[in-house]
Amino acid sequence: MRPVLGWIARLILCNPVLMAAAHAQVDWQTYRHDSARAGMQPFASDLSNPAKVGTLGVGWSFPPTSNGVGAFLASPIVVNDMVFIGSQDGYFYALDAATGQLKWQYPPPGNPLKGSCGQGGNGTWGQYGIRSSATYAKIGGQDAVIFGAPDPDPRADGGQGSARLFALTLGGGLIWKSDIVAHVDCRPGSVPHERIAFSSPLVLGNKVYVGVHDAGDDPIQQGRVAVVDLSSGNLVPFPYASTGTLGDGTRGGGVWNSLATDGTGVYFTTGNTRIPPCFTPYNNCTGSEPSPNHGLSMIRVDKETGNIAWSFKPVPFSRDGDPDWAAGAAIMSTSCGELIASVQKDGWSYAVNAGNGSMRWQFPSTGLGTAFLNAVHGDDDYKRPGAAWNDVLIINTGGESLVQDGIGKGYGKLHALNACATTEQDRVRWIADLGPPYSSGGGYSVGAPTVTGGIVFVGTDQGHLIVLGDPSVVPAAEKLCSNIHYSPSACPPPYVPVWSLKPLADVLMPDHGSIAWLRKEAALAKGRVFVGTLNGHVYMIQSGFSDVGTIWRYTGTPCSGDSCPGWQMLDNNPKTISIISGGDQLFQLHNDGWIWRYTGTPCSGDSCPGWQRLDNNPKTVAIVAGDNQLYQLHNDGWIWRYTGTPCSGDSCPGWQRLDNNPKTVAIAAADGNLFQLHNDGWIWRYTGTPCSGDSCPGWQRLDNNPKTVAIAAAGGNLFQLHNDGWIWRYNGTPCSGDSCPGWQRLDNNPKTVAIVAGDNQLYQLHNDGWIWRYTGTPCSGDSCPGWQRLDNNPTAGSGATPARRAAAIPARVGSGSTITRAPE
Amino acid sequence: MRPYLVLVSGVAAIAGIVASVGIASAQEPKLAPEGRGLLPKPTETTPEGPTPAHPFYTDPSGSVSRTIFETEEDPNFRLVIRDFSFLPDRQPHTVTLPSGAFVHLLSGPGEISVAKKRLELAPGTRMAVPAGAPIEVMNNGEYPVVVRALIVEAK
Repeated sequence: MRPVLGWIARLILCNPVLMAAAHAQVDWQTYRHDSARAGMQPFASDLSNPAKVGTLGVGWSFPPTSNGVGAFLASPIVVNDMVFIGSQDGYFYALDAATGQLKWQYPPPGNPLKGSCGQGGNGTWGQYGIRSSATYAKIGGQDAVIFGAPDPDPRADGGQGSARLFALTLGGGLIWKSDIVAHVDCRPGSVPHERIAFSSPLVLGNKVYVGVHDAGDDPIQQGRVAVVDLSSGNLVPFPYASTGTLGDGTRGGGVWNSLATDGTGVYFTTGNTRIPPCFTPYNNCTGSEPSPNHGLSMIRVDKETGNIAWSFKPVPFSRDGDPDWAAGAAIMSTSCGELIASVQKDGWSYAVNAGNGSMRWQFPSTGLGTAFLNAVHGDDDYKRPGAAWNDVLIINTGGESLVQDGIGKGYGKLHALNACATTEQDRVRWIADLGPPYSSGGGYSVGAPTVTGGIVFVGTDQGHLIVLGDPSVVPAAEKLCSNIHYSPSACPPPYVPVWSLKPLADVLMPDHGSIAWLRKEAALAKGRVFVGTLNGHVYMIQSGFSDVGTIWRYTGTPCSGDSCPGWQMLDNNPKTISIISGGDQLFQLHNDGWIWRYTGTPCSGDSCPGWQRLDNNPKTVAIVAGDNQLYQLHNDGWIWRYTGTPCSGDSCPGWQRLDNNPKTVAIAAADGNLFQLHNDGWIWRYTGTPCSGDSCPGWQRLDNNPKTVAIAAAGGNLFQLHNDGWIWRYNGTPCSGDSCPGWQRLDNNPKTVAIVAGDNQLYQLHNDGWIWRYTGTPCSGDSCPGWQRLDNNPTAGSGATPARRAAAIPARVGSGSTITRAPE
Repeated sequence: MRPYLVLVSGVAAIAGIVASVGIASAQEPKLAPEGRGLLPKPTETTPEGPTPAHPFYTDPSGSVSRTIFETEEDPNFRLVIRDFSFLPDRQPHTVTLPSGAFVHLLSGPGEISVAKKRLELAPGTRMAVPAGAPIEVMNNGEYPVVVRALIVEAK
């Protein structure tokens, strides 16, 4: 059978009349991209180009300040060059997709969408804000976005937190507020605490569907699907209930996720029913099963009547230890038919036939017999929907070792499963271990993956956006046993060696906030990635940070942006991680430890006659220069002075050793002085006697403040930067601690991430890429006349990776009227 | 038949939308590569990926096992938690432990004999095994049977 969705896409591309719809597809119009909830961007862009994803970096941040707004538990959508996302702070934000600038927020400041009810963990009955990712729709010919949230309006059940859907124009105007779809009664002894927190609205025809669930199962509410009229927001009768009959007081089967559709059926999954949950060994359980019981099920209902077409329920009531289907259904348009795929909280993944609900496969394929029934089926953390890349399902799942090794072995990992494999030995396509350092490796360590052209994007709880390439588009280099607890070389049948994927790119969010949590995703739209973090920022990540290593000389004309005539390019070797100047000399350091001196001829690449090599020791991590002296620092803390003879390797007569203290993390030099910074914040000045170790008379201590993170020297001055952005100048009196008269404060802006100095000039770099020159007047804050802005290119301040960010700090060095920069 | 009805209705819906707004674009987006078919398997020479913390290995006797936990703190005895994996090869495999142990069937089911006494064990079953008693396992299933042993060895 020909894959239907792919067929449609090709047809669109062959017909210019249908092209506008295709352009809409390059947007990301709802959670998981479209109503199939496949998490797949079908159209090519830089994000599906393996050669370009390595150049991803943070393009902008909302807000641009280091302090975020409320946590983003929802995921962004992207429509018409705008980004829409709601926050736990109760506000819905519309941002310019190109710049990150706030276009509007709803409601206006001061009246967030939060109820008054403080019950539940952290007020989750009524004060949970906006967790529902938005969905684009056309309402009466008007572009609109729809999301769910609690309404503080007293007319909404007293404003306690009863929730409804909100439909807004793309300009922020309210089209309608729906009837209440989830009720909260906060009075003592009351039970209702329904939510629509995690369900992104599904728009199908003239209806909007949303799942209703509870908060914390205390107690479980009746799972149901609320439907409103698209044009008015009025409730439409829809009789589906997960347990019993709608409204009969039966509890269970919450619809915690975003409903999906293939245009005919509506698909979703449901939560647990048993009160209290029943745990292994399942022999002392209480509670009676409601009838009917469609909890713990994957379900297809008729889009009009709400009648159940089929219900697939692998874990019976007798084993209901709360293994919800928290992950929703993903519709897979595969070579072997239309499948509905998802994972339960217990770690088992399934694909069922869309037509009749029969199980096509289970992973791990234990069957549903004794071994399966006796395994753990509890409240564990496999809660993220998979990304369906045609015949491949990419998902956070328990893995082949689930039964023997316990529930947590799949945490921090993604499995790619061949949905149409005819044998279980072909089921696992690849495995990617994204545990430390990319994530904590715990249950919430990776988010919901998204994919385009075989390039997979997934966020982690440590704020990393990880990019992986399917081996069909990027050759893989390593293998694992499909059961990860056997080595590949001793991988016993029925397990088989499979590909092990390494990240193609790792972009660290500047606020380090989680972009994983329950089911957060990276939206892929028009060649850019959009994520929201738990620390309250939205970031746009884009390719084009390929000018890593480009060196520019300032010609004296302040300017901004990429087309900036005030800067002359001198080199563009991506290996460059640091540049410094001393006297009339310019030097650069490559990431392989090679040190080069500029001879005056701008050029580019490895074969560049404009640069003379002075050393090639891979231990070198930093270089500094002052008063015609060049120094280098090795990764073991050894400091060396260049004597004038180019050489290479450890036995290099061209370099004299001055110290070998492993605490040394930075060096600075100017006007005959050499300084070093230790990892405990101590600053030392070289007195001219080479030595080694802690008791080293060749070095005089000038300060010992643990806040110090960087030093710079120029024009007879020594400067230090604290981790709170404060900049200080040394006035000649050694001292220690915060009350240190030997240092004069020049600025205290928390945006500052780096300082550099040359001749009589001091420069600072902000985390938004702005470069400032000190004019001689100590001051503080953003409106600080003591600093002149020279550039505001964001690629200078936003570190795409830790390595790039680290490289940015020593890279900017001034030298009189000439300063140079090396954008990451 | 149904998918083609979906196709027709989907295309019709899209055409209707486009016709209603009356726009078309000059720049055509291109499809990204699709995910179809299986991958070639890694070869014997493909380097190994990250090694698990406690991988199973094959000892000289041919048995596949791994040590999960081991303590040397007590001067008189050693506590060891060890997993034995029995492959689905329909062949009998025997393990003999020098000390008393408490065994726990992690995955199966399997056909197990302890001291020549045959037992039908389901996953989750636990039992005590005397020192020196042979544990014989025949795996007639499709997946490895894994037995976890809590062993207390005298020093």
